[in-house]
Amino acid sequence: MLSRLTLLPAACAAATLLASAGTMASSHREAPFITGMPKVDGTDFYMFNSYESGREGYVTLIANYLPLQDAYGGPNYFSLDDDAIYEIHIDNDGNAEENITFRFQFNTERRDLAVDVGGTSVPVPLINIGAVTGQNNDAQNVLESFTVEMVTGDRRTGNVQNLTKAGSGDSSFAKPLDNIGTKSIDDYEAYADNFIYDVTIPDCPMPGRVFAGQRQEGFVVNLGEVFDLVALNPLGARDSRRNIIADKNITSLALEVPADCLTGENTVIGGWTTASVRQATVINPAPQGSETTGSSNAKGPAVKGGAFTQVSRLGSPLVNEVVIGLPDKDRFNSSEPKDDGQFATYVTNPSLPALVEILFGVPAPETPRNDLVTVFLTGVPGVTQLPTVTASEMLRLNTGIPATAAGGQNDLGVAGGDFAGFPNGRRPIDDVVDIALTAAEGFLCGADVNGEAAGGEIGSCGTQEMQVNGGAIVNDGALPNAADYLTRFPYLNTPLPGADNVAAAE
Amino acid sequence: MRYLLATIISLSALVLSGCFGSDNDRPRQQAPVAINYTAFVKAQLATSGDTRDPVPINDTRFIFRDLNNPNAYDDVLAAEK
Repeated sequence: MLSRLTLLPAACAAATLLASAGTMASSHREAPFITGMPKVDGTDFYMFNSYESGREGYVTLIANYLPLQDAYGGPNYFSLDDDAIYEIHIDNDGNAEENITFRFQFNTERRDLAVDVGGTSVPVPLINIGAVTGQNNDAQNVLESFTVEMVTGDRRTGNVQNLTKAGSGDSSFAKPLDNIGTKSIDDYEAYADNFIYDVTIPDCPMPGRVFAGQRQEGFVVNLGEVFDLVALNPLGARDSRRNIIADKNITSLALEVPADCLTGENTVIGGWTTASVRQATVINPAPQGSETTGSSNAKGPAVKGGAFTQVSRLGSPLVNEVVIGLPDKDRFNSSEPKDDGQFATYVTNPSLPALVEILFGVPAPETPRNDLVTVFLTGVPGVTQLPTVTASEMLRLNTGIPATAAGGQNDLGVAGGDFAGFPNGRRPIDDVVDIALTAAEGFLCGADVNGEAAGGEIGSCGTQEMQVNGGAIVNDGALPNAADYLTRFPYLNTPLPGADNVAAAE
Repeated sequence: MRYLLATIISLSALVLSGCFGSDNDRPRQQAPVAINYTAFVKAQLATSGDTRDPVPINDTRFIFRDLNNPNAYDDVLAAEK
């Protein structure tokens, strides 16, 4: 295990940016096919050593789904897909295949609440008809619950065991109602806390924690201008523009696991999230309704079957967003890390710096981009690389590097001298857009992080064995704010309310 | 009945693709396998085990015989009894 003392001099000398090769909107609506399936569109994946006080030795995993939620999106709001599986995979031996998978499956129960109208009981059109609290959900018309299975070995054929509520053996967890507004749920933060569960994890001596529910979007990006041909000043102040998605919510699947229950023989783990749906779907032209319409025995709006088929994949941020070319984005979403050799050209010869050269005249670093291969596909020797590794895209975390307390975190992660941050895992505060932009423009070329390899273990950019473009911090002008995150599990902030009736009445 | 149907369709696909021959005996058949799309979908609906891998379809040529048949899936959409 590397000590912090070993790493810090390298940070000062190289301020190395270890990033995925791309930029922009992490993974929101990033591939053509997934834009039609938002419930299974993975948007961000976080994996970090827990920094909540008293949680040393734990790793937090957060997989975000269902992008760009407007808080007022009623009357149905943002439930997940009962027919899908949402998974978080861990590779702890470097062979690019999962050793452990945590599989979330959701179930929606509809109570069909009705009101008496002129002596007739008529179903209501809303998902709640009164205030809801953590202790009383009688007025809640739609309830979501979920299970979490731990699969050891292959994600489909491995040994499957349930996570259970600590002390009870119950394997069903409730998901909170989305933040409809303050009249429906007057103190959402307190309400949501009722849905954080201590869990017994199979084969793990210590309990973990789980939460699945709506959160405020934690990703920070100047989204609109970035995709408008990078219509910003990339060398301007890092806070010169605004985070355009700050008013959005997201749905998080959060899990905290003792690090020792994730690691193998080394302290480094790789992680990624996927979502899969059944391969076949038949749309029902006359779906199930109620007794009112005499259709309560019909099948649902779609009949689905066949094997679970992966449609979303996300490890390091921004990869499928701007590294993978448009023709291969759907294919990437359906792929597994062990087969990532097929995408190598997008890393060795990235298109983004070439586009920046066209738009801004900034020379692109030479190719092949061995620097990006190291940080993108193998991990950095001595930091996030296992002794044997199959080149593959995933988020890598050295669980042996202690977490930085919330108040002391640097949003440039390793680049800012904070080795507990991206790309040693990823925390909510890490400004992955700025880090990735900077790396793409050649900050890493030939960098020496810790003397693990002669000439720098990061690798060259073609014949360029030194940093290019002056080591500028290239940025999108949108800066994370530590006040916008919790300092405790599940770390992402309380979701924005769809209506703030209490404040409006004051 | 559902599993019987699935088995029949799967076997038919295998026959059409020539998979019962030895790869060492003759060149791999290049012509895409022709499968009735409706039957394929019904076969998938009938076999939804969580341990299965998806069925590859890149070498399959789907025949859409039910494009104008609104009753093609009536059996899988029938109301619960």
